[in-house]
Amino acid sequence: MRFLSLVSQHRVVIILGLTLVISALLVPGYLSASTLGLGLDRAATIGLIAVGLTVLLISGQIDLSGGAVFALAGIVSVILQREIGILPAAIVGILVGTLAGAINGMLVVGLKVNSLVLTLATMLIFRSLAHWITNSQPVTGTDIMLSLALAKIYLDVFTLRSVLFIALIVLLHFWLTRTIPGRNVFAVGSNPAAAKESGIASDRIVFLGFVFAGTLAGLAGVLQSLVTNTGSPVFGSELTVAVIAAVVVGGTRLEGGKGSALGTLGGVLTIGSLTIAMEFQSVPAYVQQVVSGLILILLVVLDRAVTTKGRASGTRPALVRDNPITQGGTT
Amino acid sequence: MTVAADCALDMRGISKNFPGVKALSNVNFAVKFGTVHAVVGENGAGKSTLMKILNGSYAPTSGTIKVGDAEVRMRRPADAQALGIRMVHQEINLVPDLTVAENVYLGRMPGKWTFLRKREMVRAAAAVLDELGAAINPRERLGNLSISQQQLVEIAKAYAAQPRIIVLDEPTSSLSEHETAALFRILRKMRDDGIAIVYISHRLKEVLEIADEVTVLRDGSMIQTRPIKGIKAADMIRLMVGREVSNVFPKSPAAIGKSVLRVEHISDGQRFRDVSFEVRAGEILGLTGLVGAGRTEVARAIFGLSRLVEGTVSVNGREVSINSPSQAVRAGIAYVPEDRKGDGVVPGMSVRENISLPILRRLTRFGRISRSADRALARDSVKQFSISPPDGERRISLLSGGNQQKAVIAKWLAAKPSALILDEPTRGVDVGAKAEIHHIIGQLVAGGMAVVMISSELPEILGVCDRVVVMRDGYASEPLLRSELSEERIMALATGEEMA
Repeated sequence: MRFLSLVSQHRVVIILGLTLVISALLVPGYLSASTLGLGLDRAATIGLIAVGLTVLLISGQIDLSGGAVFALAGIVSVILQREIGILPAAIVGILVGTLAGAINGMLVVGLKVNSLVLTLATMLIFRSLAHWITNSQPVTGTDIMLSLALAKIYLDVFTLRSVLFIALIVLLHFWLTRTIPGRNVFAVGSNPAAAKESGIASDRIVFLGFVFAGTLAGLAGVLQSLVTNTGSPVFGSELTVAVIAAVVVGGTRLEGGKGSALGTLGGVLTIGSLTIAMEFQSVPAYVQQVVSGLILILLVVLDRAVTTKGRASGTRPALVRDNPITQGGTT
Repeated sequence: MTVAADCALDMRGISKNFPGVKALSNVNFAVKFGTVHAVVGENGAGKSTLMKILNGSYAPTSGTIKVGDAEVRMRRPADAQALGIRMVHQEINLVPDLTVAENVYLGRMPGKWTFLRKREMVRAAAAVLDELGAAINPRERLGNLSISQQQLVEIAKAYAAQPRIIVLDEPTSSLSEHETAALFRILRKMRDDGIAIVYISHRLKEVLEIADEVTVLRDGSMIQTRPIKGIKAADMIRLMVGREVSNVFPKSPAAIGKSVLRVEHISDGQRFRDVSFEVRAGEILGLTGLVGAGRTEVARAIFGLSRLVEGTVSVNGREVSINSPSQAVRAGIAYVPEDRKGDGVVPGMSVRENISLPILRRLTRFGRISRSADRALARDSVKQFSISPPDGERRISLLSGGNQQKAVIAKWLAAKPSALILDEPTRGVDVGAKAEIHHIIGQLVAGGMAVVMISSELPEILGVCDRVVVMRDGYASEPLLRSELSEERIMALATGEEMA
């Protein structure tokens, strides 16, 4: 039990460590700077969206539309390059993500509907919009050189994207642990009724959570399009699952109230290094998905084993309620 | 007593209608600063509706509310809080994943700009907890605390807000004697500081001890407000139920038969040791004791919810091995747990579905549930236990606590057990429902069932049980016969202190 809870507490580190060790044993040259850099860059795309999703999941919501927003924002930023220039187009692309998040948030808060179902619906809509705008064809940008500049590797390891991701993780960590709104996000996700009764503006927090998540999905999509000089309606179609997997591996609870930025960092790196390792070994994509799925199952089982045992041996409420003296004595 | 007599709160002509229900009609309720004002009434009398109006959760259909000298309209809890009204709920309403300090300052954490001043907050929370006499680490995650500690945090949270009016709804239902005494100390201090305290409780003894005034509600109407001086518990009960309750704990005589459930020298290795007792057909055996004495653990172990490391359990003279509840049910044992909400009912299902849950297999023919048998069972149970409203299709969570409890008992009786273990069957139910539940238990033993009733309420134990086993620190006393029973005797055994 103690052992299990220790394992559970540090599970991200353990899983990440295991992934790296096993990969290093199986894949020659895995622990080189260039491989790590590649893995980190790959992880950063998942990671940017995961940062937004971490906040949303802690607040008790979920956003399935991230992958679709990713594609749509990228397409907009590429198409508009000819009209208004690269930088303004990129900004508009990110704002498309913000707008999509605002729509999600408004609908969830305003209509008081389940965010799982609602963002499933908006996911279909955003994805279809992306196909509609592009006639289901990839679109290309104006400046190939830019994509080379953006893909440049600094200090043998870092790309622009991965630096941005790590910076955001640090900020998120600080925000979640040290600021009042950050703590309130946990309150809203852990016990919405108590949060509301205590005067916390839960609706606003949830709405802003969606806006934040949408903006980051937009940012990730725009960066992807700039790096590849392409906007495609099929971009990011398997991203949502990878992102949710990464955040959950990082110890964030799907029901809300629990999670951390550093956990998400660990989860994202795990998914990233796993992907890279399997790609190096030419493991087919479908097998990769099987492995990710198995890892998720393992985690859920581990979580359950720890929590149920904890409940059985912890202080049961019944023990402390019994009190004949105060209840039964005569006056 | 205090001298301040300024009106802290004046609610006049308050009515509240819900679709199809009149929850409150024309209630007047006034509380003075510096007094403790108790509100009593049966479940469903309108206490919680009145408090939710006071708390800003509901808007009254009609009526006026004055806080201090000003007439106010509150639309949400935040409005009430801004007016200095704080509510301590009976149900813990805190955030399990935040720390104690964060919970105490929930919604108003101290900080500069957006940045949390954690150290300041922890220090302030520690000071408040200290003042309340609660030994709780403010950095602890709230979810790791016991229920009684969480209740104290809830009170600390209200107190830390320095309210003008504080409403406590059954604050002692999860507190120990020591903690209740500490709470009363702090309530008196708050009262002397001039805070107006509204105190809602089923425990009339506590009301008599702490309150200055009492208001009785019945069926959504205010029956009476009067000073606590000169009022007796019996008077309050009469006002609450609107009739004389001659015998709150009716004891029904039943012929005592042969031994049904017998446990010998059972231990779980942790919480209880060497516990032996037997219950015979037609007998009610009381199981009582102090905090953590191990009563619930014994019941759970007999029912197969936890493991025995030693000892034997026999049903109807045959030794049985029970490792799971389903084995226990097959052996003829049923267990109605204490935590109704958590373990007893499936809230989303109807009364009928809840009742037939354990015996669905018996109602099934060729894999299909017999609708008519299912309905007939529900109809009979509703009638036998006078479950109100008498509608098997109603969702069980819409019933009052007492009626839910009746349905839970009905559910286990449908499995036709020979021994029934009831864990605090009347906790949190009102006086009328309590009597009905006692009546039902009486009928069951009259029909030859053996009943083990765990209860903390000594009057209940004394009134209902044929024999009583008192537990202390995991050990069980010899059974006391009815003729040997007195509160003093039980308390002596429970605390281990012989009376002079």
